[in-house]
Amino acid sequence: MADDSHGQEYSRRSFVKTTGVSAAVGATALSGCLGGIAGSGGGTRTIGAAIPQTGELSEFGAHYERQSEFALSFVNEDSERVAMSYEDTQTSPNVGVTAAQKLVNQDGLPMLFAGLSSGVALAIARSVAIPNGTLMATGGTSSKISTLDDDDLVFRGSPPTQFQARALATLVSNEGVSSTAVVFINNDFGGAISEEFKSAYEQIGGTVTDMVGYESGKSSYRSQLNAATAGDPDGIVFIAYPKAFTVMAKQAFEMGIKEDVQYFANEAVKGADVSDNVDAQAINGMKGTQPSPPTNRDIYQEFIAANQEEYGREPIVWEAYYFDTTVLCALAAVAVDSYESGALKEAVYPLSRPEGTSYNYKQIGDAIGALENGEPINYDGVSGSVDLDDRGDVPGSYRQWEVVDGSFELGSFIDSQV
Amino acid sequence: MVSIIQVLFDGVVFGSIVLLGAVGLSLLYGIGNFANFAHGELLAVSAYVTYLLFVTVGLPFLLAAAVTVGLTALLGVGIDRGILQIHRDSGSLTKLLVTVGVAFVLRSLIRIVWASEPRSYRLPLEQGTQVLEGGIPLGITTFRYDLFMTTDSLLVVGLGGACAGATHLFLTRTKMGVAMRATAANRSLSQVTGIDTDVVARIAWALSAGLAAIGGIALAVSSGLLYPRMGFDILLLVFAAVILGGIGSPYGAMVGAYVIAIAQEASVLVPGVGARYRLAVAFVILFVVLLVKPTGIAGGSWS
Repeated sequence: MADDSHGQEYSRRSFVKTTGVSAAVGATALSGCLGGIAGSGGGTRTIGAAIPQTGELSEFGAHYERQSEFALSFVNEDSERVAMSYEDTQTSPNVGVTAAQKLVNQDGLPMLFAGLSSGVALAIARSVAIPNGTLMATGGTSSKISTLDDDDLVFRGSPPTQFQARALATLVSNEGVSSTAVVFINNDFGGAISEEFKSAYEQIGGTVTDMVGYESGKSSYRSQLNAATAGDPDGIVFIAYPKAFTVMAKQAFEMGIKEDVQYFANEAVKGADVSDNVDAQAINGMKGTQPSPPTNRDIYQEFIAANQEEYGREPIVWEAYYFDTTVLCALAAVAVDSYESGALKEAVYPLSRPEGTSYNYKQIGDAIGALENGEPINYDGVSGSVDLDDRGDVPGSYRQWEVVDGSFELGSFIDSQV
Repeated sequence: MVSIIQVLFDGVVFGSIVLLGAVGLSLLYGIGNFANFAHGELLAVSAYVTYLLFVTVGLPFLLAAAVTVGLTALLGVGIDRGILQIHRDSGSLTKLLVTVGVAFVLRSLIRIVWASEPRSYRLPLEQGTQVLEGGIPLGITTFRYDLFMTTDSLLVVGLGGACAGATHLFLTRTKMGVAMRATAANRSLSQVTGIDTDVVARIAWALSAGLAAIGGIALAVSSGLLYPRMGFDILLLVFAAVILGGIGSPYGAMVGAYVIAIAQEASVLVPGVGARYRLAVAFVILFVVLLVKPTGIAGGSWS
């Protein structure tokens, strides 16, 4: 009896063991199989995003979130492949680095979108992405990002400032303004674009009378405005963010500067934050440049229409870049077998370039299918061809805009003279 | 060459706003012996409450501003009764940290109610009047004495002066003002002579918050911009003015506010020092004054 019962027990145990093991093996095999089908190790892959949900560029942080979610809605159409994890940078380099560290070190994410401003992007690139070997996309436009010693880890879907500064210099010169002061935000972005503007503008015969830096978060910019007009320039170029520009535009008007000089500005001031808060007469006639997607392309028009249907608003130019950048990141995440930054880095550059078959955003499902079959693809963006060069930059095109009756109106494309 | 007169005037305008913040901060420091880090948020909250009453509700601007000053004074009293009253005998550091907490709560409330995007009162814009124009050639450069003024800026200067004067009269001509000065000088001794120091603290809070409200509204009008950090961004300068004036002395704070603001604006006059260093210039002045007179300009004196 005892022996029998023991034997029975033994056999039951071994049965449980065997089934358990086989079930485990089966599950592994199955998941491996599914993994093979998905072209990945299975599961949802998370992209970290350290973006300004608050602070000076919070408006842009909201744009980024909207467009990244919109981009993922195409990527995740039939299954939950890629997700975003957001952290707030408060538009501050220090807070941004902490946010990125959380995403990289704590959450262990191999890919990051970080910084919509160059100051934050550079800080995160230097102290988080490059030391940890994390692949990083960014919305920052400083030329310093192009020249980072980053082992190809940092790339962006928005064109860098050196191209933008040349377009701005061309515009100022075309307007017949031969001397100008530059008032710039004293950070990586403002410093770089103002220097680039100066060299481009002087190259085509202009004179920069004064370069006046400012710090954000001040409630009076009269001393900067006094300094900018001291050299009696014909124009003032504002390389500024919306909040500070709002204050400057009001104070400059009160100081009688507006009627004496022609205003120019970079595209960051162009937005509801300025047009809602500044009296029209303080900014009417101001001109500027902005990176512009090729609006004559059908795919861009469709993107605009789709956005209007989804969110009830027309997206600004940056949203197309954010959208394309997210698509590139997501396609790279889907393309790699193991979700780690080395493989992602190898994957992301080729899928932007014209060697493979072209797919636009509405064909992302097909693009993912092609990637799973190991075929080379070329993502054709809504903002342009988004072909990443060796420095991780994309070429851009630029248009001019002008403030008419307090609102920003888009004008023609600019052929850069520099 | 930048007009020196213009720079001085701009300094006085900005100094008036700093003054409105600094006097209240200094009062509270004198009475309660703690630095109120929520003071910047009181400025911001009042600017937003005025926005609510003026833009959202549609009250006339001056009425909206007046109601806001009253409400903010009540908020100050509320903070005192609700949170700081139990800390009367706590150390300065405890009180300071409590006010830091209050600051975070208030700023978050602003973000919850009004979100982060900037706003403005959209008051009619007015171009300044040129009061002075011209220059005296001086060798290689010209001494310019042009001066632009706007009604806004004159109002801010007038308001700053009026509030400073009213505070002075209150402190010297009223029983409560005298009690306040006595409490600042020696709280225990004041209690012994029958002064209700709790009431004194509460009045000090009301006065401090009320002045902060005027400062906050003036700040929003003068800059044409409201955003949640607006108070915190100016707080550093307000503290600098208070310390420069001699910590805890409202009169010193008044002088300190003008000195710091004028130094800041005048930094553009110093060759080789760009406007981008203006905050640094203000603080260099602070260091120099404290090296010469470590107790600050008024040295904690209330008279």
